[in-house]
Amino acid sequence: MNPASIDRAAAPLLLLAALTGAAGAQHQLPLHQAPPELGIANYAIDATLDPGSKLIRGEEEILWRNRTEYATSELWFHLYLNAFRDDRSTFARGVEGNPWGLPGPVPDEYRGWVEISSLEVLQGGEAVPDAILSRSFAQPDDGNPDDRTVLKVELANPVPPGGNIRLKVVFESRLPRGVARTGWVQDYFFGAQWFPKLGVFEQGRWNCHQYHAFTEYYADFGLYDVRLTVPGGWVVGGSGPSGQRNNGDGTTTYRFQQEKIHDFAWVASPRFDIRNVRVVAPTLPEVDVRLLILPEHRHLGNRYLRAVRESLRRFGEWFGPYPYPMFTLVDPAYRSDTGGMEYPAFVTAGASWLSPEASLTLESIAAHEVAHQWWYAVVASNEFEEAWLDEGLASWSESLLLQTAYPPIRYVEEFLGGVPLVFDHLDISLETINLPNVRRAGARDRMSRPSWQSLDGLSYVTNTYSKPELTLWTLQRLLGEEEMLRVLRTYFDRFAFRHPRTEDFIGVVSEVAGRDMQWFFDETFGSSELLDYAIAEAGSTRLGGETDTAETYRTEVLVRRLEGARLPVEVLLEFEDGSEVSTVWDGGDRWKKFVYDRPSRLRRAAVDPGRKLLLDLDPVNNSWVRREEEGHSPATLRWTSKWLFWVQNLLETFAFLG
Amino acid sequence: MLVALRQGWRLLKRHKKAIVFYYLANLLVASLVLVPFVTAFEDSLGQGDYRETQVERLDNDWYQLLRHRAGSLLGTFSPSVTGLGPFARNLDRLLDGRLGDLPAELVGLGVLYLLINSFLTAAALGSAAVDPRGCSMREFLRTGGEFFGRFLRLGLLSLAAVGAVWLVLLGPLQSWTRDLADAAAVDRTAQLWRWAGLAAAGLLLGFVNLVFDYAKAITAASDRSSVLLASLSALFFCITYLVPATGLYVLLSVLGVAWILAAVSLESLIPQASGWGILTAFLLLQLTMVGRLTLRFWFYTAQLRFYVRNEGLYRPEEEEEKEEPVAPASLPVIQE
Repeated sequence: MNPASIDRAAAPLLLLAALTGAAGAQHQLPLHQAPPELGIANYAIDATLDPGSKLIRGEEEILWRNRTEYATSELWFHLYLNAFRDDRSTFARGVEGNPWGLPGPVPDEYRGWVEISSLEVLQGGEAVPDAILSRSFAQPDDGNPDDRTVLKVELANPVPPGGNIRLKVVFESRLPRGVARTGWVQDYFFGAQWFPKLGVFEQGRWNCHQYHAFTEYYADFGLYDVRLTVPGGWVVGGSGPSGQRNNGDGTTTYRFQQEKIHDFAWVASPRFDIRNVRVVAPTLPEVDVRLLILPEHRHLGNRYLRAVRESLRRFGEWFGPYPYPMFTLVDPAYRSDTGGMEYPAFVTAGASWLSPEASLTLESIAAHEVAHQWWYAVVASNEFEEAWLDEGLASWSESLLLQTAYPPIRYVEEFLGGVPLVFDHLDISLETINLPNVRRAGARDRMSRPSWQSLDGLSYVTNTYSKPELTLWTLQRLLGEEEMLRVLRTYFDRFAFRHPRTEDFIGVVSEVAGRDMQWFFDETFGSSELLDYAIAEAGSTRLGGETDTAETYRTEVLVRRLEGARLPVEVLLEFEDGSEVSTVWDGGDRWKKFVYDRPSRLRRAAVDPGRKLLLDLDPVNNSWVRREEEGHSPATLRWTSKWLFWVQNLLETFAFLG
Repeated sequence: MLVALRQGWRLLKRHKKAIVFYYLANLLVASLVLVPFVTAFEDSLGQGDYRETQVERLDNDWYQLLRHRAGSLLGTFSPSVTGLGPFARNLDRLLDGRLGDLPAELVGLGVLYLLINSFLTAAALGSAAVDPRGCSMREFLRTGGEFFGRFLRLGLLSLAAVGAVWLVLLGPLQSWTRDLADAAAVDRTAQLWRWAGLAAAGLLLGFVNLVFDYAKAITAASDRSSVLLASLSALFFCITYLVPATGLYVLLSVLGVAWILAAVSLESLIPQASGWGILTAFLLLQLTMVGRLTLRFWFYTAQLRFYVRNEGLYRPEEEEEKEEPVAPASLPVIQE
């Protein structure tokens, strides 16, 4: 048996190792001697993956510390694999058809579940008899009696404020066929939400939601010491640094240890190539990066690594240093449904064999997931109740990164079953790339609504990702980039390893901006209203008779607010003599007419001329320009001639058939 | 094969007017949807800055707004109408069987174009077969009238054949390759299966096109009244001369691809911020179209020559410029 080789160990981990015994010894987290760095929910898990049956058999010891001022006689667990147990779970009911998109009945091998065979309270290493009064499934969100994704455990003795409890849980999980971020495809296994995991006890109650079609996760920080045994020759990646031991029986055990994380996911496959690099930046701690990439995507390895390197470095400089010693990026298997997902110190990206560099799709997914290390892993807002807070910030960070570190994104269309062709005549701004979604579904829900209550999938995506990102870009235009980065740095610094809420973010924005910014959030995050200002009418008429020598023109400009959101907006009028008038309209009413008598005619009128309000749905109606000549715009002539050429060729395609 | 190509080219030169007709028909039919498109496009630019800023490059915010609001016709506009896009878009639709998914206006134009083309091809190929040394405009149109019915029936038969090929072969085949792609362990394999499905579509549709090209040549050269028999003869002919017939087809296709690549490359070099630039690029694109139509006619003439030579209908004196036109014995003599 080879001794475990830990890549890098932080001081608390060494302390834990000393307290818990050698690597091979039984997992045991000492209650009273545990260092405070251990956090609230600490797990020592020992599990074995059986690829044939897709089963994970495991044991976990949990040390939970009640750091609130309330006692609790309950413990609530997430049992999320039960979302895939049958068609009656809340998750399954939230999906049209079935989660796998299969036309007919779902084969049993696609199903997943987790079962607890034993749950004990430990004291001095021994089980305490009758310490658990009852175990039952709870459905706090929708009362669906068939949903088994939340387990409520009633304790005989409450855990007092500042008290601890240690538990031993024996469980068996079956991974489903790849679905909703977890599962297997061929010889690729991804374990997410695979073990019984505690909810968050806050303000005297358990925050432990059911698994829905449109939700992610929320848990408390702690130390994870996870051992996973897999067939020999398999490569395993997970949250944190790892060591491995050949068991001499055809299996290998990987051991991961990482403190200050609130979830643990892993991936295992015999097919992975491993690429290790170290990211070094002058003012930041070094980070070891591990890329687990499938052989058919080997040619994409450098792009993945560059995206991670740029992200870790720039996010570190902008927001604060990445706090973990290791970061693992996984290139997920085809049709595994596990791509583009974040876990602490461990993420999955996603790319196709022909991923064109011009569209930066691979880079944007990787950057987004790395950004989640700041906005989710470290600043751990509640992904159930305020999904916008981490997804919006991660989306905005991703776009800022791409805008800063990469050439402009180019328009790519795929033909002939996936051949990407680049068309270079379109300027794509990353800041407004989400406008189309906002137009379609921005009004379906307010962003601050819990994500599982979204009207539909598009509304979830729009109001969790697209509209928040666009709103943050608008906020950046209002504050300026430097101030925006100061907001994020302050927010990260203040709420690292905590669970901030929207009001905390707004507080930081107001504090850094030096003025109350609540109005901005009321009109955006707190509202489902959209924004659209327009120059509805504009023009100048000459005043006085034909014989008057001094020319005076009356200029009238009607600005309308076509949607419900109200944000102050600049209105700029430019006259033919070169003079300008700029005013700010509060947008309070539905319209406002600006009237000026001046010696020159109006040449151009623009509402929001600096394009600060990126949320404005229709930038085309934001301006009016005087035209002396009638006729078609050169733009029309140019693009119509191209379109005509396409139609001419289309006709030839028809001719081919006859 | 090369002889057929050369003779076909010579024949094409003597019937240049066919290309003019082909081009005018193509441009005029396409122009039928120009007015609604221009109106909608102009509206999409609004009254302000975007009218001036969208000439050289397009703005994604404007484009996305256009997509959001566009009706069916304007909805077919995309940045992919530039470069190789026009060809790739259509080929994609053809091989995927999605030509019918286009807006009704465009499908209607396609049908109209098929009708007009039946007449023009009847006229062009009929004239080339009847009088290889050229003909007057009147003869051209009269020949078109004479062969139109048969060429229209051939066109319908070709459409039916394409439909049957989709129904019997391509549909199940593409469904099978899609299933294989779905079941593939890696995306590269899935991609290869998808390509295999499209390649099969390309080969089968190409073969149908080849057969009906020869059916047209046979109808014109042998004055067949039964298009069904002509099509069967064409099928046997293509099978008998599979290698040279497909070789000729592939050679001309390669020439077409080269022509398109050259034109696209040249067009990309033209600055199009001014009216002159836009006009120059437009003329180049129209020249490209003329080239494409010329190539199609070259297909017909070369295949006609290839058929005539291989079926013993060839008379060398037809190629002699100085000789008086003499109709081949087996061909119909048109009485003035």
